[in-house]
Amino acid sequence: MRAIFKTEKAAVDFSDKIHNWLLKNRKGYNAERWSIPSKSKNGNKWIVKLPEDYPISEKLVIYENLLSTRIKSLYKKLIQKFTH
Amino acid sequence: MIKQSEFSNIVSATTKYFFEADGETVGWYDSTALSTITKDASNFVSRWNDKLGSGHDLLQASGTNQPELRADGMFFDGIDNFFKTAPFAYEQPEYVYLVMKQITWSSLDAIFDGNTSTSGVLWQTGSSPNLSTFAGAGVNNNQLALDTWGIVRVLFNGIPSLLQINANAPVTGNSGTSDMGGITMGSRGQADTRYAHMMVKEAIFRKAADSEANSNKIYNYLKSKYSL
Repeated sequence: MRAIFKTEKAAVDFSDKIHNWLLKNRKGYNAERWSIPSKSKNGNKWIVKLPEDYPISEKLVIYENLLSTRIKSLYKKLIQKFTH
Repeated sequence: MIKQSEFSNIVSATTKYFFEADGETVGWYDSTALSTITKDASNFVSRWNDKLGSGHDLLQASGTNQPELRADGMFFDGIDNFFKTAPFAYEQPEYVYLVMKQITWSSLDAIFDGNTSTSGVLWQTGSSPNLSTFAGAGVNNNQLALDTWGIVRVLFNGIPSLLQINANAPVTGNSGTSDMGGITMGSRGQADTRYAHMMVKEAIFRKAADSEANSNKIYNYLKSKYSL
């Protein structure tokens, strides 16, 4: 799964968040950083690949941010139903 | 009769294969030699050392770019995985032996390269499953089917260079004269694009135009070890 951002700063901040999560949660994780975000082919988005072991709750937040406002409330209800 | 005082506690290191001791191997990367691999609990690899201790170690400091050590070899995801040594003096003739599998094929994805882009690249070009070399010019070989383990031999030595799959007749020609100057595995030397989706069990990089006899000795070592 990849997270897509409109700005490089947002992508770098998210990459740092992943890096810090891995430092705490993945035994033996040995990296100076998680990633250097890459540009999309058209150059107007920034992409960060997610590690497989990144928690599902965090991945769902990314999905939520991609949805239009109209269906966000329905999406939140579905998440609550399946994660609680 | 040998006196007891003449016995020594020194144990001589013995080498089993000629390429371990002839001084021509600049990088020997063995996925079964776990002591040479630094990985985390999810088997993502930050360091794959040269088994001969030259210091020409394959490194990856960014988590997302780290290949994964699996039961049957080093897995490169084709998205952003690669390794890279620091630059070092590595000039033609350069002879590379790989036990590898192309999982999928995508034009210009690079199996390995030198320190800078196309300084000595083996990549996927033309149409699947073709591989070709390039260090200023290129040699093509389409005999390694996808998702099939094979032993690939690449010689960069101007004319004639060669690209050989298993024990098939090598394809010879001109691969150009650029010098690798280091090793990049899984991408071109610039390492910002064209990542190969592949697996590698073992790779031997040499700075010699090995004779046919010596090349076949290395081939037979790899063939026997991995039952290919």
